[in-house]
Amino acid sequence: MMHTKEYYRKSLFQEKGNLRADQIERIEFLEKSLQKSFLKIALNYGYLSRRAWKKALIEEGVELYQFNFESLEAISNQEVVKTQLHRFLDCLVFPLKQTDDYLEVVLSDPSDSININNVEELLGQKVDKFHVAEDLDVLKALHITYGLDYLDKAIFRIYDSDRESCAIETFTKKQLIFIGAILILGASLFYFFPVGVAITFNLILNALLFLSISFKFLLTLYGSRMETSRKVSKAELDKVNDDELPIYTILLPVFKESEVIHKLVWNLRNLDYPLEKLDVKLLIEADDAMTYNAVKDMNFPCIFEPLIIPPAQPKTKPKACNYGLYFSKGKYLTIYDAEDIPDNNQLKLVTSLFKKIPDDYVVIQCALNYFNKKENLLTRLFTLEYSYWFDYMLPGLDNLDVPIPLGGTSNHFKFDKLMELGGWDGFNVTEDADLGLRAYAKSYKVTVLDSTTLEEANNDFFNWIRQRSRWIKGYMQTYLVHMRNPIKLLQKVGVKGFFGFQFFIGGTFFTFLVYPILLLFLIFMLILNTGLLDYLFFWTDYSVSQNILESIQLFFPDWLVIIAIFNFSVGNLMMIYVNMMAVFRRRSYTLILYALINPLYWLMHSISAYKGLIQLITKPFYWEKTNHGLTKSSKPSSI
Amino acid sequence: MKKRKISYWLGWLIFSIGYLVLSQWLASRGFYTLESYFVDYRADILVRFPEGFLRTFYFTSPAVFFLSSVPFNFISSIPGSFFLNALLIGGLTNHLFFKSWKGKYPSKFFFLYILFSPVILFAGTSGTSLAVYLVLYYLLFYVTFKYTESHSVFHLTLMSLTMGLFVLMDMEYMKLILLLVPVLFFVSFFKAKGIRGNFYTRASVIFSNNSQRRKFFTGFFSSVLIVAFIPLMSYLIFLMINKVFSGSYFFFERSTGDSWNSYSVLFPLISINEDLWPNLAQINSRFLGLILLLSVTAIYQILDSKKQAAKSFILILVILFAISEAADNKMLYLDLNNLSLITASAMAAFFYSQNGLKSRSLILKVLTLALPVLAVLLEFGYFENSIVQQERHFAASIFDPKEDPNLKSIEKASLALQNQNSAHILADDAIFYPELSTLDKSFTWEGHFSPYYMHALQQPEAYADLILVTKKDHPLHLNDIVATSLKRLDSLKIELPKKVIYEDEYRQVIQLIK
Repeated sequence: MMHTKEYYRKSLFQEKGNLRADQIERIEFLEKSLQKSFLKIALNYGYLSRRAWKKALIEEGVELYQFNFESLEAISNQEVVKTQLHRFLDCLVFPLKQTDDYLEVVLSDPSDSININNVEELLGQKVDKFHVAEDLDVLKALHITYGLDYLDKAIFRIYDSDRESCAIETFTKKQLIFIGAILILGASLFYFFPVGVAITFNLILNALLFLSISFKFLLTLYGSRMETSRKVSKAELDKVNDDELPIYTILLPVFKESEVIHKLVWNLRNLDYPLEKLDVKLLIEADDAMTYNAVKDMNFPCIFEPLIIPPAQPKTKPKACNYGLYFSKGKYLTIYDAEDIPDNNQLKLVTSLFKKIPDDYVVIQCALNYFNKKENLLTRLFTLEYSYWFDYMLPGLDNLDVPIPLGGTSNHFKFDKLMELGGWDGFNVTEDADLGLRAYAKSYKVTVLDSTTLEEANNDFFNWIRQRSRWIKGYMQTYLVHMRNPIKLLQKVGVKGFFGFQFFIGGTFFTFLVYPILLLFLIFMLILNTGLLDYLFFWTDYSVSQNILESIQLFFPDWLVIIAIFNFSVGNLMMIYVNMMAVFRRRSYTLILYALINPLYWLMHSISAYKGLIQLITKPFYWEKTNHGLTKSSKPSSI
Repeated sequence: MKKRKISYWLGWLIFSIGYLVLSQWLASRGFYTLESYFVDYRADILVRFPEGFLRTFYFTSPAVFFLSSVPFNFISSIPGSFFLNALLIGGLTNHLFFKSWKGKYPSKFFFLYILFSPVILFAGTSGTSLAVYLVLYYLLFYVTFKYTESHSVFHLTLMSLTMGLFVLMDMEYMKLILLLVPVLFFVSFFKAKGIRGNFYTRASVIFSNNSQRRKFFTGFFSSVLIVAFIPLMSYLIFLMINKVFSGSYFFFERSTGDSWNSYSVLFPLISINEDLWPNLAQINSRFLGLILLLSVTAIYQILDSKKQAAKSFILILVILFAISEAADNKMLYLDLNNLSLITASAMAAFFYSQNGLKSRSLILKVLTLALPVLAVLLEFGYFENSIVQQERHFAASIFDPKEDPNLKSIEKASLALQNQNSAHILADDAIFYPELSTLDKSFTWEGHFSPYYMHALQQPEAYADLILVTKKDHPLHLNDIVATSLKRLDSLKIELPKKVIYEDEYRQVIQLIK
């Protein structure tokens, strides 16, 4: 519907939107300093809710324009819109039709004449007709119509610029030949020397498992050395001047997470950082109607700017984040999940630390932990794992100056360096771990910070398996990508980094894959040695076990069995112990005994590892979605 | 930095060489220890008899000492245990030297004690497991002192790891956890978040508030669990290995020949000292004198601990612990493997607290200077009055070397064996390891490690060319399984065609004529 009526800010925002005069004054101030439209600031900086704005428009007699997103077409002067997309997004104006003597647009704030003038200036002609639509609809229309160049870059930038580092190709030809050669050689040797090969194979598996777990244990011990030191002291934090703080971008990728949007707003509000210096982007997939509608319907003011990702495959978090990069304005950038609760001073700590450390540090990883740790057994075990991983292992890697695989969220980047690195690999399902390694390979460094972000621990078994299979598959992808040329990797990251990578990335999925094999072997030997087989299965006093034992003893001599038992027991105990250490540090004393069932948790990892392995071959880029918002826990337990 | 590292490594090397040279000088004066022979022997059979590999590897006690000595056994002229001792104590001395160097004047002076302390010298030169015990004690108490200050998981974990190593030395050392429990208990008061003030204020706040009390106790029990976990699990794994290896969880307790004194702790007491028995009598307090002779440094540290209550508390616990242990079983616990925890804890306390040293009175200054001299003299007093023969022998080797009849007997028997070209020997290797350890590769023997040992005892002539056996004056004659089996054969009127080729007061070498 064409609007000829004059609209006034006072009527729309003050009288119908219930904004106070001082708020309007403040928004107008921010409008100038941030160079964004009045409505955008009102909606995205916590002044006005979207539902209230819609209501105000309707009360004003505005009939809202409904887009048909399927049939949107770019205007003839589309190059201008594409190159100036940021300005159109800031103005919240979508050019619907343009001919030489006619311009029709859809806008969100009919009272903002400056906006309309800006668009007229950009497109070189007067607006003849305008419609009014909700801001989210205008944003979506702009992104899906004019954001495709950015989308292409978001997906293929790594592939185009550094093909060797892109996971689009899972196995290279050389890798396939190498794996094939190893298998053929192994099978041939087994044919000619079955006993020797079986024993050697068993020994190698045992030794690698032991080394991998010992490495993690030593890493944990090394990491725990630094637990009492603070990278940024309280005095240094107190000295931070708000006026000197840079713009900070927060990317919030969401997918079908309408449940947690409300929590997200409250968590962001708790951040101790000047609001006008926050550039918060909520990344919504264009076809995610659930989240889209939830944001549209929010009945309280939020402090994020929705950003609609045009539809394209692969539908992954890194693709969404890469797309978000092109609209980010911060000097520093971080990613949080929608349900995350970061320490309120985290952003200030990061800015202080970035000032202190050398320039080659480009990423700071903060610790992750869970707010629903006591919800059920799974969340307890998950908490144990995250505690040692982020509180000890990553600091251990940091102290050893070994590449740190970044965690999924709360990694804080220098924006320019992130762009230089090409962002995340959209084809890698653990893009964060991959990025940490790529940073090292380019002589940049990653460090950790003792500030915690509380997340929602997965509380559902199948959801957990899905999530973990993706992570492990991602580790496999990352390993394969960086091992395409091992010598080059060695040259890039050095001996320490190379072996750190082997044990930490390679060792992680290797242990999960090998674990059930060794466990089955031990259970089998135990059943035979104790004679349980005779009693439980054959119900006979005749020693069937002994006969079997004698026939397989050639392949599994006593000394090998003892080594396997020792290795397996020590390995499990080391992992139990590091779990205990970590929750003890967090003073979650009631969780300590749960560490004893860590071997079962490892079996769950093994299930996920095999699922991940199968997917690596069949669906390498498939993003196993983790459902969030399943927790019934609403407030964080004390940490 | 690099220079500092080089000087550190160089210092370690110099001190280690010093201890090694000293050990050889003492050996030249007739000092020997059976434990060093035993470790040497076990390292030898580890590679010489494949059928005994698993048992030797897993069940040689003390495991950590043995397994660490094995790599040094490639040098045949000096047993590996002497190298290990020299390296360990050389490392400790060097570490303390650098600490003293950086510290204030008392620590520089205290280093004289480290250099001349008979306990440390004995640990560095005797080829016994004392070196490992001393280093582990030092480490344990140093991290314990650190933990009282930092309350960090790192120090707690190191405590646990050290305890784990203790268990691998000797299962009984698990009891040290009991010593740590009160420390963990009191530290838990100071770990409570959000409570300030002295101990009494903290305790009253904690015990008057349900939530705080619950947190306090869960925290305390958790810290005990963290410390006890590694030693307990080491024990558990060891039991499992016992079970898989022999079908019994406590094989290590029942087996023979897996430690240097597996038959009897009386083994070293070939010559009985007249002073020994009064010391061992149940109702007397003379043993306290021996403990006191080793405790002067610790007592000084207890008295000199202004604003370091934790230090005094731990040292008092240590002395009480040593007294209670010795009172319980003097024969077992009145030796340096146990009592050196006082020496080590005092050293750890000294170097832990030296940064807190303030200006001191003249009397304290004089005492500080006198302490090393006094401590060294009193420790020599301990060695001269020790109930353990090898400890007395150590002091005697320095001041008044005399020929030891047992050593002479061992040497002569060994020589008699060596004079036989390549023979297969039947002997109770839980007794005759000193002699067997001197034999070259052409000799083989049946011992406790061998699956054919029982057969050989019943039919010696079918399995052996030579028999090495104790005589009735040997304190372990009744334990000698070969002597018993020979008597058995005798009683069954089975005569062996034999010829005695060597004998003395304690032992006999018999040749079987075929």
